[in-house]
Amino acid sequence: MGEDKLYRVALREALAEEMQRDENVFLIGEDIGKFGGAYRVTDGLLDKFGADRVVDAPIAEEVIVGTAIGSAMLGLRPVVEMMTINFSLIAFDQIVNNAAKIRYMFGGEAKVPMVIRMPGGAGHQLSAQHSHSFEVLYGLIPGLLVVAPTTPEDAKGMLKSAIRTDNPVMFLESMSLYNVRGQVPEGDYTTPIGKAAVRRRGSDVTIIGVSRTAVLAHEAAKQLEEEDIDAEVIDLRSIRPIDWEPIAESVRRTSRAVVVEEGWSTYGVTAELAAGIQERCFDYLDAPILRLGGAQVPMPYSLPLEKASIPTSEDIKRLVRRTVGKRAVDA
Amino acid sequence: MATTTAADKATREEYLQLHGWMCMAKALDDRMHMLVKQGRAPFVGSSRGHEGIQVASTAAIGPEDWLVPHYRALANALVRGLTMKEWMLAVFAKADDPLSAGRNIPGGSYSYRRLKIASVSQVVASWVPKAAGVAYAAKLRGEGSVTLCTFGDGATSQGDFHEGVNFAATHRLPVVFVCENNSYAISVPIRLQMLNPNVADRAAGYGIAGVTVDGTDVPASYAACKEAVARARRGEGPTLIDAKIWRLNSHTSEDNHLKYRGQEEIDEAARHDPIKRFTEWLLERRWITAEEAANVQARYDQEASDAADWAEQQPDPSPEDTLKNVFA
Repeated sequence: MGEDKLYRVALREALAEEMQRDENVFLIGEDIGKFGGAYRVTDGLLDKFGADRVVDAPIAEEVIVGTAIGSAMLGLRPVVEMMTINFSLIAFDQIVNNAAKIRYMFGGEAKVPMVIRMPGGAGHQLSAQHSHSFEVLYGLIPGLLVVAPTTPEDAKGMLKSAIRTDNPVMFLESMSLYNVRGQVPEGDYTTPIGKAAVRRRGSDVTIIGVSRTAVLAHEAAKQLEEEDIDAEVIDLRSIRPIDWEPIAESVRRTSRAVVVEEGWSTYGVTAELAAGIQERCFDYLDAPILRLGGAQVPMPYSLPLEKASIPTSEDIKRLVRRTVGKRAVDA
Repeated sequence: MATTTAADKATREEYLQLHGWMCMAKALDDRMHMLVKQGRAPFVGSSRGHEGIQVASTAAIGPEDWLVPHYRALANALVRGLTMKEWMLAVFAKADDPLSAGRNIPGGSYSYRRLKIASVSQVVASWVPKAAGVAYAAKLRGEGSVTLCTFGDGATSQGDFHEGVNFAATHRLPVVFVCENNSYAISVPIRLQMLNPNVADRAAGYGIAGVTVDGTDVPASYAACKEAVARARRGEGPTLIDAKIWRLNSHTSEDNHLKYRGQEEIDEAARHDPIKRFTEWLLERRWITAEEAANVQARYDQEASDAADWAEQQPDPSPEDTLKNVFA
C-alpha cells in the first residue's frame, strides 16, 4: 500500500533516493539550491546532499548540459533541471548533436547516462516564450529516450528508471501536473521506460493522450459514459520509444482512435501516432483517426486567447463524438 | 567606481525629470504588486532598485536611438514615452495594449515600434545579439542612431552575451551595453555565477571601453551613460557599463527572496533604494523640497491606480483573432 503524494514530491523522493543509493548521481540547474527549483522539486536537497551534488548553475543552459554530458562520459550520473523546457532550446546543440550521438560516434565506447528534467506545457499565462510542448522535438532524435509521466507513481518510478539507464533521457514534466496528488507505492520501485499505460478500458473508441492530455482524455472518457460512449484511454508515457503493442491491440478492438497532444499537431506526436496506427490497424479502422493539438500560434498571454489555444477535455469529447458518429447530448 | 563628480552638466530641470520618471516607475511597480495581491493581475516582475540606472541610461539616448532592454525595464519604457495607461493595458492583456496586443507577458516585457523599443525576450541574454543586429542595421543604413542594450548580471553567463558583445566590438557598432548588476540571477548569488564580479573588466577582452558605476547614484550613472553614448556616436564602438545596484524585491511575484537572501540582506537592499538616494541628493541642493517630492510620488501613485482601474475595464482581445499576426 502506498501513500497519496504530490507529483512534485514523488519526483523529489526519486531524486533523494537515487542520490542516496548512488553517489555518482548529482543535480545541476538554475535555482535548484536554496530556491528549491522553480517548481520546488529540489526543495531541501541542497541541505541534505551539499553544494557539490546540488549545483546552482549560472544562467547558461549550454554549459549546464555540456558539463552534464562531459561528467556523464566519465561515469557520473547527472540529473539536469531545465527551469522550463523553453530554455532547453539554448542547449539544443548539446542535446541533439552531442548527448544523443556520442555513443554512436564513439563506436559504442562512451555512454551518456544523463537525465534532463524539464517542465513544459501551457495554461499558466506565461505566454509565447514560456509555454511549449516540445515532445516531438526530442521524440524526433535517435539516441534519446523521451518520457512524459502523468501520475505521481509514474513520476517517481520513471525518474528512477531514467537515472539508472545508461542513455540520455529527456524527462518531460508538465507544469500543470506538479500539484496532482496520487498513490505512490512504498519502497524502491521503478516504472519501465518504453511502456504505455492503459488508464481505462473501453470498447467504442481508443483515446491516446500525451503528457497532460492523457489526464484530459481520462476526464473526457468519464464524462462520455453519460452519452453511452465507452472510451478506452491510453497514456502514452513513453514518447521515444513508442509502445505500439497495447495501442494496436486497443484500436483493433475499438476500431476508432482519437490522438491528443497539447503541442502543435502538424508534424507532431499525434501525427506519428496516427501514421503508426494506420500502418498496424488499417483493416480494423471504421473511421479516420482524428488528431487534436494546440492552436498553431505562439502561446498568447491574454487569458481568453490562451484558453482558445489549448486543447480541453471538451475538445476531446467533440472529436470522440465525431468518430463514433454521435451528436452531443445537449446539441 | 565612477561617482558623482563636477563633470555632471545636467540642469536642475533634467534631474527633476529623471526623478519624476523614477517615481512613475515606482508607482506602477507598487500598483502591480497590489493588483497581483488582489488577484486582478497574474504576475509582476519588479523593477524596484533598478530605476536609477534605467532612467540614466535611457535619458542618455535620443528619440532616434533604439532601446533593446531586458525584461525588468519598466523605467526605461517610461523615459521613451510610454504612458501609465498604455502600461496597464499590457498588464491586463487588453486588445488595445500597444506593447503586444495582449500577446506577451507584462511586468517588463514589451516592444513598441513607435518608441523605438525592440522586442523584449524573456530568454535571458537572447536580446544581446539582437541589439548588435539593430546597431548593425543602423550603421549600414547610415542612420546614425545608437542602440542601448540592457541586461542583468545573470545574462552575462550566457553565450549570447559574449557573442553579441564580441560582434558589436569587432564591427565597432554604436551600442551601449549596460549591465544592471543586482548580483542575483533569480536566487543564484553572483559568487556562484562568476569568479570576477566586475563585469566591466571583461570589456578589455573585447577591446572596448569598460566602465563601472554605482547604479544607485543617478548623476554618476547619467554622466557615465552620456559619455558612452557620445563615444558610440563618434564611431568609437561599444561601451560595457557595469552598474552596481540592489534588487529591492523578489525576482517576481512568483517567489519570496527571504528564502535565499535572508532578512538582513533584504533590509540592507532597502537602504540602497535609488529613489531615496536621488531624492536626498536633490534635497541637499534645494532643487526640490521634501513636500514636493512627496507630492510627485503621491500624484503618480494616484495616476497609476486610475490607469489600472481604467485599463481593467477595456475590452479583451477577441478569441477569433488568436491566429492574427503569426505571419506577416
